[in-house]
Amino acid sequence: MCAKPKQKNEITGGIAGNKPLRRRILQIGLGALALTALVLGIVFDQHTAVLRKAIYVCLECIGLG
Amino acid sequence: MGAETKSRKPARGPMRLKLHERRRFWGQAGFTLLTNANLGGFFRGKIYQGGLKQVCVPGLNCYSCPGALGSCPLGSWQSLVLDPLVKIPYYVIGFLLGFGLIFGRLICGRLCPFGWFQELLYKIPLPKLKLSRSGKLDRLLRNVKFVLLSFLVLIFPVLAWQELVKSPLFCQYVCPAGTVSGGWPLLLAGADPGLRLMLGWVFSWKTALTILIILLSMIIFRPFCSYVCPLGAWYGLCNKFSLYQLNFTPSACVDCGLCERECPMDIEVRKNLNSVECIRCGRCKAVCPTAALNSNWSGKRHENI
Repeated sequence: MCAKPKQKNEITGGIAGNKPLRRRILQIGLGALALTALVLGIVFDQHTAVLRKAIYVCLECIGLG
Repeated sequence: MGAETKSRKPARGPMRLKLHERRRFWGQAGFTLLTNANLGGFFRGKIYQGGLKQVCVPGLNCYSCPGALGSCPLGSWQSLVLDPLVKIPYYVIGFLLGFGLIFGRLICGRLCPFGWFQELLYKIPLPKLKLSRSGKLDRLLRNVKFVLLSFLVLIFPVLAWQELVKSPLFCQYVCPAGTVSGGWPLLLAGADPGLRLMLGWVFSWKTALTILIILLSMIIFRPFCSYVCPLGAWYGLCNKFSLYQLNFTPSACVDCGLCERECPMDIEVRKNLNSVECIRCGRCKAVCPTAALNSNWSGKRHENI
């Protein structure tokens, strides 16, 4: 019994297999990572660190540093 | 099959494109105004210092711009990475990953203020240049943004080179958005005479680079986005797996080639759907007479053969 060869997608050049599932898993994983990072950032008070940096004219940002 | 028949509409692409472009223009203008609503700051020469600055905006919008209400994610990333008290900027990582995951480069095509600024410059009636027709040079230049993302934004500041790298390199030496929306307005307002005393070679270099990008923007469509922007490079990488996906239904395609002719980024749309270079301006989708090109927010890609 040999496995059915995977069909190559003419449009994308990719292998049409369980690509959508892999993409979905990647999306869920990265979504969870993004949320975790955001929550961690807020827990560690990094939003106020952003504010601290941003309320002064960033001299480097405008080429004066 | 029914849906496919329904989607075959008469060829009214150019008209739809005009309407789409008008909507996109006002969307970009509205977002620019919304994120730079501290208009009085331009006259006072002072930047906004309220709590909204805690929030990162998705596009390239310098937080030293007197009008800016939010923070540039790229500037925040670089500042926090270099901050010994922070080291790992989870907050900005969350923002960049989140925006990338949902929108991809849709942010570039529909929201980014600096992208809009370049598009306005491109409207100036001058002979236009399409670099991609020259092939190799364009391919080479398009990689520059990934090199900048890797080295100036990620590797140099993140690795233990903080002794050597003490300032946000991309902001300091490259970013023209900071010069256009931060440096020039603050100097022109003249509220802080100390700023003028600090003018040096870095400012001259950045002014020259910014003027070059402004001039190029008049003849090349969004040169900064195509070749330089690390934020665009990041969102471009996210195009492949973002929730917003472009789809192509070959059975509905009449092979008119309008999509590829209208693509301002010169992408072979049907062959390279959701390319890292695609700013998702939606022109291809709007001009398609049979709706063979469409999009969805489910993160699913339909590439029916």
